[in-house]
Amino acid sequence: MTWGDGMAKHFTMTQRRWETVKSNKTTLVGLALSCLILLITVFAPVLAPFDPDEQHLDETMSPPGKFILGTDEFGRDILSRIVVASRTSISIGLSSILFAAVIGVPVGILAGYKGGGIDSIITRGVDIIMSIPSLLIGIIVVAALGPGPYKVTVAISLAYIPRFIRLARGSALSLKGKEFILSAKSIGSKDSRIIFVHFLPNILGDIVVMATLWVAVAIRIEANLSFLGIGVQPPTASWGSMIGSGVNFLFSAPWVPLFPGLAILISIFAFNLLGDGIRDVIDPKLS
Amino acid sequence: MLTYAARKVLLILPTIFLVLVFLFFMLRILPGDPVTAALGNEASAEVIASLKKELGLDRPLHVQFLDYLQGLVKGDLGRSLITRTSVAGEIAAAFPYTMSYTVTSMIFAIFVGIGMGVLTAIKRNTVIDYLGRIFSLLGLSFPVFFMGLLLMFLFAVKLDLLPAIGSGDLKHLILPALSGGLIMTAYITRLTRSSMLEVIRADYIATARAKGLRESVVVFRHALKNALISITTIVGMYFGMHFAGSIMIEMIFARPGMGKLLITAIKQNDYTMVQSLIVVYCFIIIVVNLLTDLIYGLIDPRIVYK
Repeated sequence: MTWGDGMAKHFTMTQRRWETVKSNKTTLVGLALSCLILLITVFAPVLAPFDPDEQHLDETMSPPGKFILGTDEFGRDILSRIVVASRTSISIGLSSILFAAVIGVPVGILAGYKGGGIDSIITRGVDIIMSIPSLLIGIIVVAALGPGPYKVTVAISLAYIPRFIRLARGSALSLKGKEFILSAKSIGSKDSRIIFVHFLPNILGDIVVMATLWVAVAIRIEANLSFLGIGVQPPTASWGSMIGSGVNFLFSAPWVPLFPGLAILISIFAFNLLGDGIRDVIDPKLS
Repeated sequence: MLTYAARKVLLILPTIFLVLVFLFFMLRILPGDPVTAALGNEASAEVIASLKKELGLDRPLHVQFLDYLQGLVKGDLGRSLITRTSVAGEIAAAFPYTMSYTVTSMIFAIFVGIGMGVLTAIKRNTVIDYLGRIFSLLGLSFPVFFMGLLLMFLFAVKLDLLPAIGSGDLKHLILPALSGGLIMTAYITRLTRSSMLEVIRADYIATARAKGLRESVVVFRHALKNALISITTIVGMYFGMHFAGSIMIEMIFARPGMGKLLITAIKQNDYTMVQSLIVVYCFIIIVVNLLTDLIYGLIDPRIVYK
C-alpha cells in the first residue's frame, strides 16, 4: 500500500503503521493467533478439560476420541497437558527475551553513546558470543548450570543479551549526534539519565519488533533443550519434554509425541507471522 | 589473494583464543564441582581428592588453562571422566556421522533453496510466490527435531519406505538430511528471494533487459550472480545454526555423531568430554565462517586483495 504525500500528513506515524498492519492479512492472522495463544496460556487451568497430572490408569495411550487428543503412557490427558505446558513454554520464551532486553539494551546504548574503549571491548565480546549459535550457547549454559526452568531462562537470555546489545548500540549510534542528546549533555545530565530518559524511549520501537521475532526463537530453544532432556524436566509439562518422553511411542501411539510438536509449531508460526508483518511495516522494501 | 587469505587466517586466531577463554571459564567457574558430580554423592572425600589431583583440578585456574591450551595444540583432549577412553578418539569416531549429515543437508538446501528463491522472486505476487513464502515461513517455525519426527512418522511408520533410526548405510542418511535440509531450504529460499528482489530493481538489470537479452540470461547471469554475494555471506552465518541442529537430528534418529556424544556426556556430567566437544563445535563454526569470508572474496570481484 502506498500513501500519497497529501494523505500521509493527516496520519501520525503510529496510525500509518496500524493502517499498514490492517491491510496485511497475514499479519492480522499472526496477531490474532498470538493473542489466542496468550489467552490460552493465561486461562490454562480453566481451559484444560482434565487435571493434567491425573493418571487414568485404565486408559493409558488411548487414541484421540474420548480424550480429544488421546492419553499418554500414564493415561494423562494430552490436550490438558499441552494447554498447561503452554505456561512453561511461553513464559520461558517471554521472560528470557525480556530479561535479555533489560540487560542488553542499556549496555548497548552505553556502548553506542560512549564509543571509544568501552565500545570496542563490548563489541568484541558481542561478536565472539554471537559467532556461537544460540542453541549451542543454551546447551553450554545448561551443561554448566544444570536443568530446570529458571536455568533454561538464564541460558536463553545469555544467548540473546549480545543480540540486544548489538541492536541497541546501532540505534544509539544513529541518535548520538542529535540535538536533544547534545543538549541534555550540555546541561549536565548524568549518563544514566541520558540513557534511560533520552535514548531509551526513542529506540524502544525497533527493540519491540525484534523482540517479537526473538520470542519465537526462544520458544524453539526451550523446546530443543527440554526435548534433549537437559531443559525443563518431567514431571513439569513443557512441550519439548512431552515430545522427548513421548518419542519412543511414535510407532505405537504417535499422538503422544506429535500433538505437542504441533503446539510448538503453531505458536512459533504465529509469533513469526506477527514479527514478520511488523517488520514489513517498519522496513517495507523486502516484502 | 594469498596475503588476503593469510591475514584472514591470522585474524581468527585471537577469536579462537577468546572463545576458548570464554568456554573454559564458563564451564569451570559456574557452580557445581565436576568431579563430585561425576562420581556421585556417595564418593568419599579421598576418592574425590585423588581424582581431582589426577585430573589436575587442584591447581590454580590459570595453570589449568595453560595446560589445557598446551593439550589442545598437541591434539590431546584428555580422557573421559566416565569411560576413561581418549576424548579425541571418541570424537574422531563420531565426527563422520555428524559431518555427513551436515554437508548433505546443506548442499540439498543450497540448491533447492536458491532455486526456489529465484523462482519466487521472478514470479513475485503470484500463487507460486505465495506458496513459496508460506513454505519458508513454516520452515522457519519448525523446530528441527519436530521436522525429523514428522518425516519419520510419514516415511518410516506410515509408508515404511525408509529406516527410522540407526546409521548403517546411505538409506539411514536420507531422512535426517531431508529433515535438516528442508528447514535450511526455507531460510535460503527467503534470503535468496529478498536478495533477488533487491538486485532486480537495479539499473543494470533494466539495461540488460533493454538491450534485448533473454530473460533467463538476465535472471541468472546478471541478477543471481550479484545476489549470490549476499547469499553466500548469510548462508555462512546460518551454517552455525544448521550445524548446531545436527545435535537434535542425531538425538531423534539415533545417529552416533558428536551431538549424541555431547548430550550423553552432559547427562553423565562428563565434563572433559563436554568441554572438548564444545570446543570442536565452535572451532568448526569459526573455520566455516573464515571459509565463507574467503569465498566471498573470490566471487566478488570488487574486493581487492591487498
